[in-house]
Amino acid sequence: MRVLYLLTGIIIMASCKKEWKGVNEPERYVSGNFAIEFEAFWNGMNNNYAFWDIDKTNWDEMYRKYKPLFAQLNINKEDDQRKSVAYFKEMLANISDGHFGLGFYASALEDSSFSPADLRKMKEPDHHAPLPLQHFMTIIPDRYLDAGYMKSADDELPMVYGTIRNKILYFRFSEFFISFYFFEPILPSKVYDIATKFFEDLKNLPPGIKGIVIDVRNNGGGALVDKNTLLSRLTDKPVKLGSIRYKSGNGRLDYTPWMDAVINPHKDSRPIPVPIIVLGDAYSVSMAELTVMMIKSMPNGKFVGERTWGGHGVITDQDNFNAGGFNTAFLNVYMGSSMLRYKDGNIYEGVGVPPDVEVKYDKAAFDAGKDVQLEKAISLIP
Amino acid sequence: MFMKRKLLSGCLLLFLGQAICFRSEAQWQVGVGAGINKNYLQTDVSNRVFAHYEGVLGITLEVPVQYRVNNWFSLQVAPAYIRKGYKWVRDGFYEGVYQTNTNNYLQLPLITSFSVGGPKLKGFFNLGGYGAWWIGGRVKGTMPNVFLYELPDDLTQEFNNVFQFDKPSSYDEKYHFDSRKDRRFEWGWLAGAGISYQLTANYGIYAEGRYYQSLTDQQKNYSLNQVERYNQTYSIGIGFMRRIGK
Repeated sequence: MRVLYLLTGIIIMASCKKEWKGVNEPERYVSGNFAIEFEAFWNGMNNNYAFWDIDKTNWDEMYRKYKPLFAQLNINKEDDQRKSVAYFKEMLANISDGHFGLGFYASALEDSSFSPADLRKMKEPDHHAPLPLQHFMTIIPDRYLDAGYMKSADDELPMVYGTIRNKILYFRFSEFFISFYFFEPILPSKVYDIATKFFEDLKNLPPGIKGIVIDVRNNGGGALVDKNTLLSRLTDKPVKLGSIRYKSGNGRLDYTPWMDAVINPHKDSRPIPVPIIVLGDAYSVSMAELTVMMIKSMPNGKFVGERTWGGHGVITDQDNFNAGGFNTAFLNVYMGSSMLRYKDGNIYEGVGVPPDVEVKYDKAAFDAGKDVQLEKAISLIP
Repeated sequence: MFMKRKLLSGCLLLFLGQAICFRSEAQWQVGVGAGINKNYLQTDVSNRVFAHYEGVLGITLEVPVQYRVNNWFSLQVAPAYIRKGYKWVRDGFYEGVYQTNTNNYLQLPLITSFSVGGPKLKGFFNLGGYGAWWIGGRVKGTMPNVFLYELPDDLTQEFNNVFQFDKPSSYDEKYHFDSRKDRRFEWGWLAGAGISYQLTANYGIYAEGRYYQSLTDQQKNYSLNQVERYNQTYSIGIGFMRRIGK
């Protein structure tokens, strides 16, 4: 009898096991209606968004508020599809990830993709349009560069390199895709020639050079590999610009410890004994911001211009770091997979890196062909 | 769940009733015990490719205090230090990526023990519950670090591991609690079986295999649709007991 009671107790205890629903990848939901599509999106964000630790969005509240609203929409009706975009914009209005973008597959929504950071910045009082390409490719060379400057071809990555007052090296490019011009087999290109010349001059500073200006204004970033091709040549010592961490699990607050974010020197690097000024603005994003952070971290570096965009997460598949972009049947999510903390202890995601020397955008000056930000950088070089 | 608890309570009361009716040879014992365990994290990572959790070995050190009601039934508390861990492991293209969490607890099991056998050699079965306080831990792992990203010189070579691109960064540090997330108190049920041998009138030894099942999520309930996590621990141990008093 005692054994029977004992066995009963064991069986009861063994059955005291919690049961829960499984975790599904957002791609696996069969989104035949908006109710399911909402679940796919909300859970995809819940498990894959890398910035919950710093984000101000109350994601649970978004679930409670918008789940019934989406349930009232018909996913096959174009009017309801457009209404869903409005709901998504509301849900994501304060999302911190500066890279975050939402796109839609429905033909009625092909022009409805949006970036929450972009929508927020458009409402800021000092919001301005980006400096046009012409400013970098024509106005600066004509007004500021010495004769003999180099410029890329029209069908190449826009790039300019030259000297200012024969004492400053000025290097400007619009995206971080320089490395692709150096992959074997190397095809003839002006970008290759310009970049090679710049790298040579970094290694062996021409006589009379007193400083270097690297211009990453209106630069949307690009390939991480340019860290090795370009950034590593700016230093002969490792530059620790902060720390990086990744998600370590499905939970919103599951993170790895912080790991060093270091730019190591190129094997050909030499000490650069002159100041390096980086020009950045509100449209310096991602790798451009990495450049800003790196140069800010260097003893001979300084950042002149405006607070940057605030998009510092590496963009990669969610499989790599338990976080990152995903798709559902209705939409695709573009977002970062990591969190970066600058060496001053602050996380500037969604906020932007502050300049060492602030020079605001001056429309009147720029319209008159006067680059006040570049002129400030020039003034800082003795 | 509520019905199960009522049945369980009923079973325990019947046991205690029978035990009290058959009181004889009531006595106290105290001892020390040590063992090894393997802990598993019961959770769901089915949405993560090439990833799973593995069990991790730990240790248990306990001080059992037993009140033997009669020759077949005892009540026991066994304050203990227990280390429980788990390991997140990736395979395939991500082979080499991992994170091991080892967590230290102060644990207090409350055990009802049923024994069979003779005056020297007995077999016993334990059933009970425990409460534990998560006092600290350590996290160790290796992740690909994008800041160590390098393209191999030969782009025609085949790639079979993430570390060929993003070189590894390793860490081994104290675990920092996050009060928003970490549930420090754990409770659950346990079951065990073993043998004991009375060496002398006052001293005996025992060996036991025991299973612990956490009933509390390792995390506080801080988000909707949260994926839960429970510790499951299998342990084996040996110890000595000493009779106290008459």
